Amino acid sequence: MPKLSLRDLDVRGKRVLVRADFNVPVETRGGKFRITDDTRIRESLPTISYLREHGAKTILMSHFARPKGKPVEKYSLRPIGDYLHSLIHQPVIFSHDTIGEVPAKIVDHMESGDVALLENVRFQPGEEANDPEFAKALAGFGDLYVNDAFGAAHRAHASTVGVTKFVEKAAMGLLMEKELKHLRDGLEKPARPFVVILGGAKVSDKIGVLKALMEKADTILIGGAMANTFLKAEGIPVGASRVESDKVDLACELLDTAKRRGVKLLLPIDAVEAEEIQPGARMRNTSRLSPQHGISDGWQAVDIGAASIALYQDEIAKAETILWNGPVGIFEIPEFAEGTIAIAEALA
Amino acid sequence: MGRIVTPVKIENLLDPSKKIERDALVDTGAYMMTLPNAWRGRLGDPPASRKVELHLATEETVEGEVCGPIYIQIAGFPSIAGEVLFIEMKPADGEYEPLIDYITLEQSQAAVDMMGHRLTHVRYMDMK
Repeated sequence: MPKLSLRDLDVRGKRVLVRADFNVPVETRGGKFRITDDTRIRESLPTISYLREHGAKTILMSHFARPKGKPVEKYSLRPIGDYLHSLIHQPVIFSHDTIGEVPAKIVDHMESGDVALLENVRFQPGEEANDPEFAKALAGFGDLYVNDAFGAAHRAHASTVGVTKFVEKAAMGLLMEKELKHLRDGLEKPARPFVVILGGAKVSDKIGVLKALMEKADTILIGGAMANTFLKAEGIPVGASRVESDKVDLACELLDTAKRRGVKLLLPIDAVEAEEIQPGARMRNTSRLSPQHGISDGWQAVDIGAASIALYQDEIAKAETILWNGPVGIFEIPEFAEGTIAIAEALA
Repeated sequence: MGRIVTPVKIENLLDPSKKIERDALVDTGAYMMTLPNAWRGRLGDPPASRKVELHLATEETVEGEVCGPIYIQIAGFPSIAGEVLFIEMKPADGEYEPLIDYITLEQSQAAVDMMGHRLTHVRYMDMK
Protein backbone atom coordinates (compact mmCIF):
# COMPACT_ATOMS: atom_id res chain seq x y z
CA MET A 1 0.00 0.00 0.00
CA PRO A 2 1.51 3.37 -0.92
CA LYS A 3 2.36 5.54 2.06
CA LEU A 4 0.26 8.66 2.58
CA SER A 5 2.00 11.99 2.35
CA LEU A 6 1.04 15.14 4.20
CA ARG A 7 0.05 16.48 0.78
CA ASP A 8 -2.66 13.77 0.55
CA LEU A 9 -4.44 15.05 3.65
CA ASP A 10 -7.09 17.73 3.91
CA VAL A 11 -5.69 19.57 6.91
CA ARG A 12 -7.70 22.80 6.87
CA GLY A 13 -9.16 23.47 10.29
CA LYS A 14 -7.98 20.06 11.51
CA ARG A 15 -5.82 19.32 14.54
CA VAL A 16 -2.65 17.79 13.12
CA LEU A 17 -0.35 16.02 15.56
CA VAL A 18 3.20 16.11 14.20
CA ARG A 19 6.06 13.97 15.49
CA ALA A 20 9.15 16.06 14.78
CA ASP A 21 12.77 15.45 15.75
CA PHE A 22 14.00 18.38 17.82
CA ASN A 23 16.73 16.36 19.52
CA VAL A 24 19.39 18.98 18.79
CA PRO A 25 22.82 19.45 20.36
CA VAL A 26 22.85 22.23 22.94
CA GLU A 27 25.14 23.89 25.44
CA THR A 28 24.60 26.20 28.37
CA ARG A 29 27.04 29.07 28.46
CA GLY A 30 26.89 31.80 31.09
CA GLY A 31 23.57 30.38 32.24
CA LYS A 32 22.11 30.79 28.78
CA PHE A 33 20.82 27.87 26.76
CA ARG A 34 22.22 27.73 23.24
CA ILE A 35 21.47 25.41 20.33
CA THR A 36 24.79 24.55 18.71
CA ASP A 37 23.32 22.96 15.57
CA ASP A 38 19.73 23.77 14.59
CA THR A 39 19.65 21.61 11.42
CA ARG A 40 16.95 19.28 12.73
CA ILE A 41 14.69 22.17 13.69
CA ARG A 42 15.17 23.88 10.33
CA GLU A 43 14.48 20.62 8.50
CA SER A 44 11.04 20.47 10.12
CA LEU A 45 10.11 23.95 8.86
CA PRO A 46 8.68 22.87 5.45
CA THR A 47 6.10 20.65 7.19
CA ILE A 48 5.26 23.30 9.78
CA SER A 49 4.97 26.01 7.11
CA TYR A 50 2.79 23.78 4.92
CA LEU A 51 0.42 23.14 7.81
CA ARG A 52 0.21 26.83 8.74
CA GLU A 53 -0.36 27.89 5.15
CA HIS A 54 -3.12 25.28 4.80
CA GLY A 55 -4.94 26.40 7.93
CA ALA A 56 -4.18 23.45 10.19
CA LYS A 57 -3.81 23.57 13.95
CA THR A 58 -0.30 22.17 14.37
CA ILE A 59 0.53 20.28 17.54
CA LEU A 60 4.23 19.39 17.60
CA MET A 61 5.83 16.71 19.74
CA SER A 62 9.39 15.48 19.99
CA HIS A 63 11.87 13.78 22.25
CA PHE A 64 14.92 15.60 23.53
CA ALA A 65 17.92 13.79 25.06
CA ARG A 66 17.41 10.87 27.45
CA PRO A 67 15.46 11.89 30.54
CA LYS A 68 14.52 8.22 31.10
CA GLY A 69 10.78 8.56 31.55
CA LYS A 70 10.67 11.37 34.07
CA PRO A 71 10.69 15.19 33.91
CA VAL A 72 14.20 16.66 33.93
CA GLU A 73 14.14 20.45 33.66
CA LYS A 74 17.35 20.70 31.60
CA TYR A 75 15.73 18.48 28.94
CA SER A 76 12.57 20.56 28.63
CA LEU A 77 11.56 21.51 25.09
CA ARG A 78 10.62 25.01 26.28
CA PRO A 79 13.76 26.71 24.83
CA ILE A 80 13.31 24.76 21.60
CA GLY A 81 9.82 26.27 21.37
CA ASP A 82 11.29 29.73 21.93
CA TYR A 83 13.82 29.10 19.19
CA LEU A 84 11.18 27.80 16.81
CA HIS A 85 9.17 30.96 17.41
CA SER A 86 12.18 32.97 16.25
CA LEU A 87 12.36 30.92 13.04
CA ILE A 88 8.68 30.98 12.09
CA HIS A 89 7.91 34.46 13.49
CA GLN A 90 4.78 33.18 15.14
CA PRO A 91 4.02 32.34 18.76
CA VAL A 92 4.65 28.72 19.61
CA ILE A 93 2.32 27.79 22.44
CA PHE A 94 4.28 25.62 24.83
CA SER A 95 2.53 23.02 26.95
CA HIS A 96 4.54 22.25 30.06
CA ASP A 97 2.82 18.86 30.25
CA THR A 98 3.01 16.25 27.49
CA ILE A 99 -0.47 14.84 28.13
CA GLY A 100 -3.33 15.79 30.43
CA GLU A 101 -5.48 18.80 31.14
CA VAL A 102 -3.02 21.56 30.16
CA PRO A 103 -2.29 20.38 26.59
CA ALA A 104 -5.95 19.37 26.16
CA LYS A 105 -7.04 22.93 27.01
CA ILE A 106 -4.36 24.43 24.77
CA VAL A 107 -5.48 22.31 21.82
CA ASP A 108 -9.14 23.22 22.49
CA HIS A 109 -8.24 26.92 22.30
CA MET A 110 -6.13 26.68 19.15
CA GLU A 111 -7.25 28.36 15.96
CA SER A 112 -6.34 27.53 12.36
CA GLY A 113 -2.70 28.41 11.71
CA ASP A 114 -1.71 28.17 15.40
CA VAL A 115 1.33 26.13 16.44
CA ALA A 116 1.74 24.39 19.79
CA LEU A 117 4.56 22.29 21.20
CA LEU A 118 4.09 19.55 23.79
CA GLU A 119 6.70 18.93 26.48
CA ASN A 120 9.36 16.24 25.81
CA VAL A 121 7.59 12.93 25.12
CA ARG A 122 10.40 11.10 26.91
CA PHE A 123 9.37 12.72 30.21
CA GLN A 124 6.70 10.01 30.17
CA PRO A 125 7.65 6.37 30.84
CA GLY A 126 5.03 5.30 28.30
CA GLU A 127 6.97 6.79 25.39
CA GLU A 128 9.86 4.34 25.11
CA ALA A 129 7.70 1.47 26.41
CA ASN A 130 5.26 2.20 23.57
CA ASP A 131 2.47 2.13 26.14
CA PRO A 132 -0.94 2.06 24.39
CA GLU A 133 -2.52 4.30 27.06
CA PHE A 134 0.10 6.99 26.52
CA ALA A 135 -0.15 6.61 22.74
CA LYS A 136 -3.92 6.97 22.97
CA ALA A 137 -3.59 10.11 25.11
CA LEU A 138 -1.26 11.66 22.50
CA ALA A 139 -3.55 10.63 19.65
CA GLY A 140 -6.42 12.41 21.39
CA PHE A 141 -4.79 15.76 20.52
CA GLY A 142 -4.98 15.21 16.77
CA ASP A 143 -7.52 14.47 14.08
CA LEU A 144 -4.57 13.51 11.88
CA TYR A 145 -1.05 12.33 12.61
CA VAL A 146 2.08 13.22 10.65
CA ASN A 147 5.47 11.63 11.29
CA ASP A 148 8.34 13.88 10.25
CA ALA A 149 10.95 12.49 12.66
CA PHE A 150 13.12 10.58 10.23
CA GLY A 151 15.92 10.25 12.79
CA ALA A 152 13.58 8.61 15.32
CA ALA A 153 11.38 6.61 12.95
CA HIS A 154 13.30 3.36 13.48
CA ARG A 155 12.23 3.20 17.11
CA ALA A 156 8.88 1.66 18.02
CA HIS A 157 7.86 4.26 20.56
CA ALA A 158 4.43 5.58 21.49
CA SER A 159 4.84 8.85 19.57
CA THR A 160 6.16 7.17 16.41
CA VAL A 161 4.34 3.84 16.20
CA GLY A 162 1.79 3.42 19.01
CA VAL A 163 -0.05 6.62 18.19
CA THR A 164 -0.87 5.49 14.64
CA LYS A 165 -3.31 2.88 15.99
CA PHE A 166 -5.52 5.57 17.50
CA VAL A 167 -5.75 8.19 14.72
CA GLU A 168 -8.00 8.30 11.72
CA LYS A 169 -5.18 8.91 9.26
CA ALA A 170 -1.40 8.88 9.55
CA ALA A 171 0.95 10.31 6.94
CA MET A 172 4.59 11.15 6.46
CA GLY A 173 5.75 14.75 6.69
CA LEU A 174 7.69 16.55 4.00
CA LEU A 175 11.08 15.82 5.56
CA MET A 176 10.27 12.13 5.93
CA GLU A 177 9.08 12.07 2.32
CA LYS A 178 12.28 13.71 1.10
CA GLU A 179 14.54 11.37 3.10
CA LEU A 180 12.65 8.28 1.95
CA LYS A 181 12.88 9.41 -1.66
CA HIS A 182 16.67 9.81 -1.37
CA LEU A 183 16.89 6.41 0.27
CA ARG A 184 14.68 4.72 -2.30
CA ASP A 185 16.54 6.28 -5.23
CA GLY A 186 19.85 5.22 -3.70
CA LEU A 187 18.78 1.67 -2.91
CA GLU A 188 16.80 0.74 -5.99
CA LYS A 189 19.68 0.88 -8.42
CA PRO A 190 22.81 1.66 -6.47
CA ALA A 191 26.00 2.28 -8.39
CA ARG A 192 28.46 -0.47 -7.42
CA PRO A 193 30.35 -1.22 -5.30
CA PHE A 194 27.63 -0.40 -2.78
CA VAL A 195 29.18 -0.03 0.68
CA VAL A 196 27.11 0.19 3.87
CA ILE A 197 28.58 1.49 7.12
CA LEU A 198 26.54 0.43 10.12
CA GLY A 199 27.33 1.69 13.59
CA GLY A 200 25.39 2.43 16.74
CA ALA A 201 24.84 0.53 19.93
CA LYS A 202 22.51 -2.33 19.24
CA VAL A 203 22.30 -5.17 16.73
CA SER A 204 18.65 -5.52 17.74
CA ASP A 205 17.92 -1.99 16.48
CA LYS A 206 19.35 -2.80 13.05
CA ILE A 207 18.34 -6.40 12.32
CA GLY A 208 15.73 -5.39 9.75
CA VAL A 209 18.11 -2.95 8.07
CA LEU A 210 20.95 -5.48 8.05
CA LYS A 211 18.83 -8.27 6.58
CA ALA A 212 17.43 -5.99 3.88
CA LEU A 213 20.86 -4.61 3.02
CA MET A 214 22.38 -8.09 2.71
CA GLU A 215 20.38 -8.38 -0.50
CA LYS A 216 21.67 -5.10 -1.91
CA ALA A 217 25.10 -4.29 -0.53
CA ASP A 218 28.48 -5.50 -1.77
CA THR A 219 30.29 -4.60 1.46
CA ILE A 220 29.05 -3.92 5.00
CA LEU A 221 31.37 -2.25 7.50
CA ILE A 222 30.35 -2.73 11.12
CA GLY A 223 31.29 -0.34 13.94
CA GLY A 224 29.99 0.97 17.24
CA ALA A 225 28.98 -1.17 20.20
CA MET A 226 27.08 -3.33 17.72
CA ALA A 227 30.47 -4.60 16.51
CA ASN A 228 31.16 -6.10 19.97
CA THR A 229 28.28 -8.53 19.59
CA PHE A 230 29.69 -9.66 16.22
CA LEU A 231 33.20 -9.94 17.67
CA LYS A 232 31.86 -12.12 20.46
CA ALA A 233 30.12 -14.26 17.83
CA GLU A 234 33.55 -14.75 16.21
CA GLY A 235 34.94 -15.91 19.56
CA ILE A 236 36.95 -12.74 20.17
CA PRO A 237 37.11 -11.61 23.83
CA VAL A 238 35.33 -8.28 24.34
CA GLY A 239 36.38 -7.47 27.93
CA ALA A 240 33.82 -5.28 29.68
CA SER A 241 32.47 -3.86 26.42
CA ARG A 242 28.77 -3.39 25.88
CA VAL A 243 27.43 -6.58 24.27
CA GLU A 244 23.94 -7.87 23.57
CA SER A 245 24.57 -11.41 24.80
CA ASP A 246 21.15 -12.62 23.71
CA LYS A 247 21.91 -11.49 20.14
CA VAL A 248 25.19 -13.37 19.67
CA ASP A 249 23.41 -16.24 17.90
CA LEU A 250 21.72 -13.74 15.62
CA ALA A 251 25.10 -12.17 14.86
CA CYS A 252 26.44 -15.66 13.91
CA GLU A 253 23.45 -16.13 11.64
CA LEU A 254 24.03 -12.75 9.97
CA LEU A 255 27.72 -13.56 9.44
CA ASP A 256 26.73 -16.88 7.79
CA THR A 257 24.14 -15.16 5.60
CA ALA A 258 26.74 -12.65 4.45
CA LYS A 259 29.13 -15.50 3.52
CA ARG A 260 26.42 -17.36 1.60
CA ARG A 261 25.40 -14.26 -0.33
CA GLY A 262 28.95 -13.20 -1.11
CA VAL A 263 28.60 -9.97 0.86
CA LYS A 264 31.86 -8.75 2.35
CA LEU A 265 30.89 -8.12 6.00
CA LEU A 266 33.84 -6.51 7.77
CA LEU A 267 34.28 -6.18 11.54
CA PRO A 268 36.88 -3.95 13.21
CA ILE A 269 40.31 -5.61 13.11
CA ASP A 270 41.45 -3.53 16.07
CA ALA A 271 39.81 -1.18 18.55
CA VAL A 272 40.42 1.69 20.90
CA GLU A 273 39.84 0.34 24.39
CA ALA A 274 39.32 2.44 27.52
CA GLU A 275 39.16 1.71 31.23
CA GLU A 276 36.04 3.84 31.63
CA ILE A 277 33.59 5.59 29.39
CA GLN A 278 34.39 9.14 30.34
CA PRO A 279 36.64 11.95 29.15
CA GLY A 280 40.21 11.58 30.34
CA ALA A 281 39.94 7.83 30.91
CA ARG A 282 43.01 5.69 30.22
CA MET A 283 42.82 4.43 26.63
CA ARG A 284 44.94 2.57 24.07
CA ASN A 285 44.78 0.93 20.66
CA THR A 286 44.55 -2.85 20.84
CA SER A 287 46.69 -5.18 18.77
CA ARG A 288 45.02 -7.06 15.92
CA LEU A 289 41.86 -8.66 17.30
CA SER A 290 41.67 -12.45 17.29
CA PRO A 291 40.31 -15.17 19.55
CA GLN A 292 43.69 -15.04 21.34
CA HIS A 293 43.95 -11.23 21.52
CA GLY A 294 40.72 -9.41 22.22
CA ILE A 295 39.68 -6.45 24.32
CA SER A 296 41.49 -6.58 27.68
CA ASP A 297 39.68 -7.82 30.77
CA GLY A 298 37.85 -4.94 32.45
CA TRP A 299 38.38 -2.61 29.49
CA GLN A 300 35.78 -1.52 26.96
CA ALA A 301 35.92 -0.98 23.20
CA VAL A 302 35.02 2.66 22.60
CA ASP A 303 36.02 3.24 18.98
CA ILE A 304 37.41 1.43 15.97
CA GLY A 305 41.21 1.31 15.96
CA ALA A 306 43.79 2.80 13.58
CA ALA A 307 44.07 -0.34 11.40
CA SER A 308 40.27 -0.59 11.14
CA ILE A 309 40.08 3.05 10.10
CA ALA A 310 42.59 2.39 7.30
CA LEU A 311 40.71 -0.76 6.22
CA TYR A 312 37.33 1.01 6.19
CA GLN A 313 38.78 4.02 4.37
CA ASP A 314 40.07 1.69 1.62
CA GLU A 315 36.60 0.19 1.18
CA ILE A 316 34.99 3.64 1.16
CA ALA A 317 37.47 4.83 -1.49
CA LYS A 318 36.38 1.98 -3.80
CA ALA A 319 32.65 2.59 -3.28
CA GLU A 320 30.32 4.17 -5.81
CA THR A 321 27.34 4.23 -3.43
CA ILE A 322 27.64 4.58 0.34
CA LEU A 323 24.98 4.33 3.02
CA TRP A 324 26.06 5.28 6.54
CA ASN A 325 23.96 4.72 9.62
CA GLY A 326 25.28 5.26 13.15
CA PRO A 327 28.63 6.30 14.64
CA VAL A 328 31.45 3.77 14.85
CA GLY A 329 32.53 4.89 18.33
CA ILE A 330 31.30 6.83 21.34
CA PHE A 331 31.75 10.07 19.42
CA GLU A 332 30.08 12.19 22.12
CA ILE A 333 33.40 11.94 24.00
CA PRO A 334 36.02 13.67 21.81
CA GLU A 335 38.80 11.16 22.62
CA PHE A 336 36.60 8.34 21.28
CA ALA A 337 35.42 10.17 18.16
CA GLU A 338 38.45 9.62 15.94
CA GLY A 339 37.00 6.67 14.03
CA THR A 340 33.68 8.37 13.34
CA ILE A 341 35.44 11.56 12.23
CA ALA A 342 37.81 9.57 9.99
CA ILE A 343 34.83 7.87 8.33
CA ALA A 344 33.13 11.23 7.84
CA GLU A 345 36.31 12.67 6.33
CA ALA A 346 36.64 9.69 4.00
CA LEU A 347 33.12 10.37 2.77
CA ALA A 348 33.59 14.12 2.39
CA MET B 1 20.40 55.24 35.61
CA GLY B 2 17.69 55.12 32.98
CA ARG B 3 14.45 53.24 33.42
CA ILE B 4 12.53 51.94 30.47
CA VAL B 5 8.85 51.42 31.13
CA THR B 6 6.54 50.21 28.41
CA PRO B 7 2.90 49.08 28.13
CA VAL B 8 2.37 45.35 27.99
CA LYS B 9 -0.67 43.13 27.52
CA ILE B 10 -0.69 39.79 29.35
CA GLU B 11 -3.48 37.33 28.55
CA ASN B 12 -4.34 33.86 29.78
CA LEU B 13 -4.19 31.78 26.63
CA LEU B 14 -6.72 29.31 28.02
CA ASP B 15 -9.16 32.05 29.07
CA PRO B 16 -8.74 35.17 26.93
CA SER B 17 -11.23 37.07 29.12
CA LYS B 18 -8.53 37.12 31.82
CA LYS B 19 -6.00 39.73 30.85
CA ILE B 20 -4.01 42.59 32.27
CA GLU B 21 -2.81 45.69 30.44
CA ARG B 22 -0.21 47.61 32.41
CA ASP B 23 3.12 49.39 32.21
CA ALA B 24 6.07 47.14 32.97
CA LEU B 25 9.73 47.79 33.68
CA VAL B 26 12.26 46.42 31.20
CA ASP B 27 14.76 44.37 33.22
CA THR B 28 17.33 42.58 31.07
CA GLY B 29 18.57 40.80 34.20
CA ALA B 30 15.23 39.06 34.69
CA TYR B 31 14.89 35.67 33.02
CA MET B 32 11.14 35.54 32.82
CA MET B 33 8.21 37.96 32.68
CA THR B 34 7.69 38.56 36.39
CA LEU B 35 4.35 39.47 37.98
CA PRO B 36 3.11 39.88 41.54
CA ASN B 37 1.37 36.93 43.17
CA ALA B 38 -1.56 39.28 43.77
CA TRP B 39 -2.37 39.20 40.03
CA ARG B 40 -2.81 35.46 39.72
CA GLY B 41 -6.56 35.63 40.16
CA ARG B 42 -6.87 38.47 37.63
CA LEU B 43 -5.12 36.23 35.11
CA GLY B 44 -7.52 33.39 35.86
CA ASP B 45 -5.01 31.26 37.80
CA PRO B 46 -3.08 29.88 34.81
CA PRO B 47 -1.70 26.34 35.33
CA ALA B 48 1.56 26.18 37.28
CA SER B 49 4.46 24.36 35.65
CA ARG B 50 7.17 24.55 38.31
CA LYS B 51 8.51 26.31 41.39
CA VAL B 52 11.79 28.20 41.13
CA GLU B 53 14.17 29.85 43.55
CA LEU B 54 15.38 33.33 42.64
CA HIS B 55 18.36 35.32 43.79
CA LEU B 56 17.53 39.00 43.67
CA ALA B 57 19.89 41.93 43.24
CA THR B 58 19.15 42.73 46.89
CA GLU B 59 20.79 39.39 47.76
CA GLU B 60 17.44 38.06 48.91
CA THR B 61 16.34 34.58 47.86
CA VAL B 62 12.66 34.24 47.09
CA GLU B 63 10.44 31.47 45.75
CA GLY B 64 8.35 31.91 42.66
CA GLU B 65 6.03 29.84 40.53
CA VAL B 66 6.10 29.63 36.75
CA CYS B 67 2.66 29.52 35.10
CA GLY B 68 1.33 29.41 31.57
CA PRO B 69 0.58 29.37 28.72
CA ILE B 70 0.24 33.14 28.48
CA TYR B 71 0.18 35.53 25.55
CA ILE B 72 2.46 38.51 26.13
CA GLN B 73 2.48 41.55 23.90
CA ILE B 74 4.76 44.49 24.43
CA ALA B 75 3.10 47.54 22.84
CA GLY B 76 4.26 47.89 19.23
CA PHE B 77 5.79 44.41 19.05
CA PRO B 78 4.43 41.03 17.94
CA SER B 79 2.61 38.90 20.47
CA ILE B 80 4.43 35.89 21.89
CA ALA B 81 3.30 32.76 23.74
CA GLY B 82 5.18 32.01 26.90
CA GLU B 83 5.06 31.66 30.64
CA VAL B 84 5.14 34.14 33.51
CA LEU B 85 6.74 34.00 36.92
CA PHE B 86 4.67 34.94 39.95
CA ILE B 87 6.56 36.14 43.02
CA GLU B 88 5.69 38.03 46.17
CA MET B 89 6.18 41.71 45.26
CA LYS B 90 5.86 44.82 47.33
CA PRO B 91 3.99 47.65 45.63
CA ALA B 92 5.99 50.85 45.17
CA ASP B 93 3.89 54.00 45.59
CA GLY B 94 0.83 51.77 45.78
CA GLU B 95 1.51 50.20 42.36
CA TYR B 96 3.06 46.90 41.40
CA GLU B 97 5.77 47.05 38.78
CA PRO B 98 5.93 43.90 36.62
CA LEU B 99 9.23 43.07 34.91
CA ILE B 100 9.86 42.33 31.25
CA ASP B 101 12.72 39.84 30.94
CA TYR B 102 15.34 39.21 28.30
CA ILE B 103 13.67 36.12 26.80
CA THR B 104 10.41 38.02 26.27
CA LEU B 105 12.45 40.81 24.65
CA GLU B 106 14.25 38.33 22.38
CA GLN B 107 11.04 36.61 21.38
CA SER B 108 9.33 39.94 20.74
CA GLN B 109 12.33 41.00 18.63
CA ALA B 110 12.76 44.00 20.90
CA ALA B 111 16.10 45.53 21.83
CA VAL B 112 16.93 48.17 24.38
CA ASP B 113 17.91 51.51 22.84
CA MET B 114 20.10 52.93 25.59
CA MET B 115 20.36 56.35 23.95
CA GLY B 116 16.66 56.80 23.33
CA HIS B 117 15.52 55.02 26.52
CA ARG B 118 13.05 52.93 24.57
CA LEU B 119 12.64 49.56 22.90
CA THR B 120 13.41 49.20 19.21
CA HIS B 121 12.45 46.50 16.77
CA VAL B 122 15.23 44.09 15.75
CA ARG B 123 14.38 42.93 12.25
CA TYR B 124 17.26 40.52 11.76
CA MET B 125 18.86 38.41 14.41
CA ASP B 126 21.94 36.25 14.42
CA MET B 127 20.43 33.16 15.99
CA LYS B 128 23.79 31.50 16.64
